[in-house]
Amino acid sequence: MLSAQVGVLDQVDGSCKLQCGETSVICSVTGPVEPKARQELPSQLALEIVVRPCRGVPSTREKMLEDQIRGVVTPILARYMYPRQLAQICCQVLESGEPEEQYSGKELSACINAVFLALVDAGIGLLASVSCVCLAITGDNEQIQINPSQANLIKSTSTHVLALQLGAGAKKVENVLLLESYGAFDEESMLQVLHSGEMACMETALELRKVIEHKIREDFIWR
Amino acid sequence: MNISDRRRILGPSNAKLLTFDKSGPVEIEPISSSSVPNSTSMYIENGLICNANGSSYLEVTGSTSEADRTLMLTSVYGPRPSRGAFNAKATLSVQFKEVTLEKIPAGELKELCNFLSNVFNAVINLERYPKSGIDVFLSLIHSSNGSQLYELESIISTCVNGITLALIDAGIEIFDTVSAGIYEKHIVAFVKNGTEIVGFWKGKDSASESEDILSIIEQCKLDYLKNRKAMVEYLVRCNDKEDHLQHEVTKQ
Amino acid sequence: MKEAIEIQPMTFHPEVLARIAPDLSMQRHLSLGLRPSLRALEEFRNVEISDGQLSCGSQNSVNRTGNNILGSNVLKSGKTMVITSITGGVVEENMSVHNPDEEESPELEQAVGAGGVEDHGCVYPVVEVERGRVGAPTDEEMNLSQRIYNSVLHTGLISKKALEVSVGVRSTNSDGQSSVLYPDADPSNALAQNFKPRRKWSYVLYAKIQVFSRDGPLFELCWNSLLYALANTQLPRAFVDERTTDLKIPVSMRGRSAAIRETFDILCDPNEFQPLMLSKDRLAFASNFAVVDIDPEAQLPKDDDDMQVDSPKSVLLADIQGEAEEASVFSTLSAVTDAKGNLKHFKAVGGGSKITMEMIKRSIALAKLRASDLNKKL
Repeated sequence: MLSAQVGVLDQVDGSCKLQCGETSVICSVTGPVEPKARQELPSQLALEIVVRPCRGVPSTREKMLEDQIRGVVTPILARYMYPRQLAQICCQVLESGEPEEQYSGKELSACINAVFLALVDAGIGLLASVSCVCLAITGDNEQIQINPSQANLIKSTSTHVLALQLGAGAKKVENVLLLESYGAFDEESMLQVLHSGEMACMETALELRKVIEHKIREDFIWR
Repeated sequence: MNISDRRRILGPSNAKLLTFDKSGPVEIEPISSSSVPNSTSMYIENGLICNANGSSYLEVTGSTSEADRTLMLTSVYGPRPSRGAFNAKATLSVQFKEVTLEKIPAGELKELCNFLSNVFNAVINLERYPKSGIDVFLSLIHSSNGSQLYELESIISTCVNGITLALIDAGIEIFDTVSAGIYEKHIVAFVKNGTEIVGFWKGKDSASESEDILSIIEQCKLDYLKNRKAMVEYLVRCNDKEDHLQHEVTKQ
Repeated sequence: MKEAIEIQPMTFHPEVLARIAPDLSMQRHLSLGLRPSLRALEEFRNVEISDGQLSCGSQNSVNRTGNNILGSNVLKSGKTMVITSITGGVVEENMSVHNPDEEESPELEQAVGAGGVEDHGCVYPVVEVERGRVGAPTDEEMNLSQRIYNSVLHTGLISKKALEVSVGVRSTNSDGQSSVLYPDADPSNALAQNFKPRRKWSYVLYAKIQVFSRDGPLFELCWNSLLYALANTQLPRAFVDERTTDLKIPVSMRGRSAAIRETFDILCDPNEFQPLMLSKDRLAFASNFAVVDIDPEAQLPKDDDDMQVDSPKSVLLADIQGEAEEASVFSTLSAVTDAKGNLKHFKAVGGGSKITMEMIKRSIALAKLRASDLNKKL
């Protein structure tokens, strides 16, 4: 389902191209670099996050994606290590895999995973690892689809994006970094979503770890 | 999706605004002269906006009918440090915005803002606030005037009164309480008990074209005195209340 | 010579402390069992609403002419004031050009009617927050607008059907008297039956949401205000002039031979309104919460007697307000739900304290209570 390569761009400090089902994004991280005066934070790393849509120009939809990514990335970064510096994170959506006017969940989950890998690739200090999945509930029997296909997404009654902060080798959930749900659902089904989302996040995290493992093996091939 | 403005969600670009039929008979309740107050009434409340330095809310019911209403929220930010070159005097800016419906053309708004900043440049003690900016934001919540789409004149006089109250609320030094008087379509802003004029807005295509300018000013002055009285009464009432509260606190 | 160094404790006014050390202000308040806003932990602010008598369809509207606000609401919560006004437009629906008279096949309708967003109508919101500056919308305003747009769309509060325009025909008889006939008013009427427009129109709703005295997170206030405004929205009846119904103007379409297209001018009746039909079962209200860890070191010293009391490690705060609260919370929850617990939108951001399952359950329970309260004000 998920495939990713890191280090695909050579002009930036870290990069990642990630494909998750029908959605694919490319993400670059530049930093730590010198910020503009208005971005500078006296004791912490400042973040500049840009999301570009797969077609057309960015709008409020991309602004909200940027805000959501910021909410997930900020707590996992060791920001105190880079006072008065800046990291630029740029995501370009290559394939949306969903009707853009109505949905953004699949793009969001792909972006968050890609940003995480690109941050690792850039060597910026992280406090924890994160993984993200998109879920949809379809049909009368409330079947939960993990990383739903476009057809399932359109049929769904509610969509959820779950990003978890994971520790202990991606085996322990430390916090819910983001849960954003739209549609019609009840408490019961949301708790179901949290439950199966947790499993899916751990699986995704293992995939992401494999990518990182592979990268490290490649990086130290001369040893 | 409309992409002409990427920062706002504007909806489909081929949509047309609703146009109401004007030809048919419109049910307008006949205005009986007895029930209508033949003078304008004003409702004032200061300090509604907590993150501004001063603010005022004015609700003016017009002289002709109940339906003639202007609701205006004025907020004053400043004096706050201004960037750039050194300025011996504070710089004043006036921004006008329609909060609900946008029906006043941009050109007229500009003219209105210029008029208001001219009036208040003369009235605020700008020398007292060097290197600072005073920004006035006018938010027109509602304005209606029977048959017309909008009536700029009643809006202007509300603006003048609103800004004065907001400046007082912000504690910015002014030479005197400015207030505007309106007669037909002319507006005169007075200070010092009507002995000095700080602004004159001559209404367009008004019926009193032939009238003598002095008599227009006299008529406006009557309205000015009434408006100023209402404003001063409100401020005194607030002050009394505050004094009273303080008194209570010291007693305890 | 030795001089005793005297250390003066620094004291600050509460507002100053809230700005320079929001978390300390928060922790010290929490150790007293309340919050910087001086409310109890799970206490909401009161909400005052009115329609402001701004809309032209409103019963006691002060003026009906020269005003095309269809619905309005003024919501006050604490010092914050939100003014929402709904205006409308008409847009032509895309229909297949070849056989416009053919009804949509039932299977297709079934598929669409299954609850997908395809048959959900929406509102185009523009949020503006007064902050004493001019310029382009801020990130906060853009995010608010987009989040409200998403929520309305996915909630299905307004179905596409509710936005369809049922177009009437105005006919003028020989005396010069004109009258408007609507298709649903009198089914036996031949004229209205005769005129079956080849095209379909829908209302488009725009919401302008103006916020004064921002004092905390705004999504919930804006959402609730929009909901109240939509609940009192009146859509005007629309008609076309009889003379234009059979008017056909050849328009050359790009690259193709000339096609016949009618041009209609849709006019709205200033006297006849119909309420906007909201899907009542989808009305849901928003409330927000925050999770804060209690820092044992920042607590006020307690008497020895109550040393044994086991205080919780983190607490849930309802309805965030004020600088100290907003700046010191990083984990927030926001729920849009009705009184029965049918959720429409949920957002949790865990930027700081751990969001536990208990916190999520507790917040939904509180949001349900809040929704039943707010629903009474409709």
